[in-house]
Amino acid sequence: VTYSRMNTLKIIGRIVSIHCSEVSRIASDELEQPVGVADRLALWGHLIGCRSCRRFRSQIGEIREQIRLVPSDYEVESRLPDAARARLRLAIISVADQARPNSCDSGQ
Amino acid sequence: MVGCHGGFAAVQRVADDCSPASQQKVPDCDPTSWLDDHGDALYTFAIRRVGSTEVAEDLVQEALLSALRSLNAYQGASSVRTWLISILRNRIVDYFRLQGRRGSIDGTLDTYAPFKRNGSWRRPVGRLPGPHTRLERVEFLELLNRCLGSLSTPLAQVFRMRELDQLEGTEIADLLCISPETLRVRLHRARIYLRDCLQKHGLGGEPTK
Repeated sequence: VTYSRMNTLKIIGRIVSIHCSEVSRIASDELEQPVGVADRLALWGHLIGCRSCRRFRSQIGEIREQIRLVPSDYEVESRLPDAARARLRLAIISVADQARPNSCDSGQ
Repeated sequence: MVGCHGGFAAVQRVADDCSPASQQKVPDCDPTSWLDDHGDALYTFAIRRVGSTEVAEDLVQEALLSALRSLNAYQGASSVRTWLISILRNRIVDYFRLQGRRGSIDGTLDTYAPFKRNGSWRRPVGRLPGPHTRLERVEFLELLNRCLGSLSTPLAQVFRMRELDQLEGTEIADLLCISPETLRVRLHRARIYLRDCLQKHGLGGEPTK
């Protein structure tokens, strides 16, 4: 009984003393791997009283979600600039000329 | 005739594609058409990972040239695009490694202090209006990319690999030769910075509270 009371006190103490900087670290870690019980309790306890940390935690999760929703739509958006295209074409042609004996053209 | 796909088995497998009759229609066999067929895809792939347009151009060039030189290694088992992308990916990893070795931990974040000395937020965390439409999503990603551009390289790099590339943490730590702990610290700092940047330059340009 004393042991569990000690534990409860410790947990409450941690909730009271934990800083936003550490809470935000735990919130970020949550996106990477399961977080330990002590950290989780301290996090939840702190979140009850801290709107900034609540927002931070939900927003970094949302950012991840949003990124995962975009890419398939977004994949075609970037166009190789014309100058770069021209430069690359030259580079390819000069190297392709050397490689020509092995390319498909040899069959034509 | 030696096909552009190398080895005998591979030539057989792609015989339909590469037979002289169909060569005209199959641009894959002609390296000079790679640029038209796959240039934008490669560039997009690179830019989403490295952020800088210049670096992306260089990497695409390196990848295309190295693909040309190893044309015989292409087995025809995958599409040309997949093959080119895999070469590009290797180039990007090399680039990351080099950056990781060079990269000092970080101009931006040393001067960027999101917390007060007592560990509380320097400025309250505000709302982020989430993107809802397709257009807003694209704007969101563009804004995120701009924010990533203003973040120091080691931090932006791990964020890109983790969130845009969706690599596993262990994989990233291995690739960059950093400890899982270092990776978590960098991700944490990157997330703080990026969230803040997204709020400051929020969608629709309206300052949010």
